[in-house]
Amino acid sequence: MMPEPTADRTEPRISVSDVSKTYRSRSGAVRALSDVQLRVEDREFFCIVGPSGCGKSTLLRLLGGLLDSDEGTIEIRTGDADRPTTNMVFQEYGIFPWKSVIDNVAFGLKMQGVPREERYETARRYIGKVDLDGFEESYPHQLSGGMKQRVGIARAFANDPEVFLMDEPFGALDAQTKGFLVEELLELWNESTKTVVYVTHDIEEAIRLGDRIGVMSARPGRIKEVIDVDLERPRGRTEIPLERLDRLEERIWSSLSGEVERSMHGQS
Amino acid sequence: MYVRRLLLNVAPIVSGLLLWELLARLALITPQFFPPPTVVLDAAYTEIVHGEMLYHFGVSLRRIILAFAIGASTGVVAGLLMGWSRQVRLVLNPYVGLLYPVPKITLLPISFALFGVTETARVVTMSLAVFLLVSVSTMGGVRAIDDVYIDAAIDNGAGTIDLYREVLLPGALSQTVSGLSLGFGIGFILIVVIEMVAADAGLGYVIWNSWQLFTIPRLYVALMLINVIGIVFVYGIEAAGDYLTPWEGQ
Repeated sequence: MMPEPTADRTEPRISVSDVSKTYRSRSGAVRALSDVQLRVEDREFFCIVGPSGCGKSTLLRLLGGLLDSDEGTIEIRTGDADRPTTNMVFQEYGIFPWKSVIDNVAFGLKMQGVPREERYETARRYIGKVDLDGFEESYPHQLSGGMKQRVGIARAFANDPEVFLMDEPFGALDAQTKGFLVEELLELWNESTKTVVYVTHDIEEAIRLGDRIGVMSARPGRIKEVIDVDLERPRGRTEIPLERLDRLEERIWSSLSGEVERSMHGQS
Repeated sequence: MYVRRLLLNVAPIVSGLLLWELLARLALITPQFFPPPTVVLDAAYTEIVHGEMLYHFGVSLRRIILAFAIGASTGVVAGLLMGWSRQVRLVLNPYVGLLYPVPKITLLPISFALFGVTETARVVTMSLAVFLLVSVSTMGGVRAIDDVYIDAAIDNGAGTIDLYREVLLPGALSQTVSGLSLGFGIGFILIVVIEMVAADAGLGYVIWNSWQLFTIPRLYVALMLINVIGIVFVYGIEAAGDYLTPWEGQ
């Protein structure tokens, strides 16, 4: 099924208006986000690309409630009160080294007060979905980077939030592992049909995953442009005509390159 | 394999004891100060079965267990709080920082002034040593926890209590265990010295008393029992640490 925003879903899942965020420290203030406007539809896979240091992660953390904005409003439409509104997948995995795989996957459910047997059952199901059967009792130090992130993804899906927030979840992985996990993630998302906000600096990855791609400006970051990814799914290498892919990539890159340049100069 | 390792460990000790026995019997070392092991063994039997050695052993053991339990539990709690809460750290850290480098034995007279020359004073002084080492290590452990674990816990709905139980305590645990080892080491020295200078019971008392009365074999028996306590605690803490932190790789 194609999770295209349709007429009956006029109300967005996420609306961000005029959001600004400044980090203050002893060495001064850094304006990370400035006047961010963003609208993410229900069941949409929304990717955010931007130059490094543009505040992508900050925006995601604001959406996740791990940070508070200085100005503006963030609204996330919630349905079921029993379910968490958002859940994050971190680039550094964020799975606890002191917990076994199953306890990591079941952690959010435990925090929600789900009884042990029930949460283990759910956790086992998602451990199976990310192909980690047999690793339930393993500890993270026994797993590879890709396996660790599958634990992180399984935890997020086991939590069953309204919105997944993914902060460069595959950023630390090698290309092969990354390609494989992108597929796996798409499969899970197809099953759940949830809203995803996915931050990456990899344009190709954003094109393979996103319904729409938001391009962020250099710091202070804002959503500069939103680009529709008018490609059918699945979008494997064989399925997408290369020229369409190239055209999209070029379009995004042309929007992004000026910002990357600005951010490089800003940093030096 | 296991037997062979055991033999490898035991052989040097046994041969050392044999050499000692020989040297003492031949009077190549002064037997008055270094009685042959067989004489010590004989004294051990007499002192333990007919004498008061077990009583002194019990007195020392009670002090150590009490002081260790008090120091360790308060140390873990204080360390977690100091590690997590800036306010608690601001209040407690100056005291900890001031007391930490002090040779704890110098606090004994103050402890006696506060509590009288009592068991309380002895136990409190030792537990203070354990407390300081455990709290400082635990605080360091908490502060070294990567922010992403805190974020992940909060993002998954953890409240404050959950955060302490699910993240801060296990995240700092290996540091806490090294604090327990260090704390025991220092506390153990402390309690033996306290017994030597200011007690009329306990193994430290027996050692000093034996030295003064020149009952040297009795001194060695007490030494042996102190060693037993030391071995049990040192390796016990290590084993408990391994058991409690199965996620620490080899």
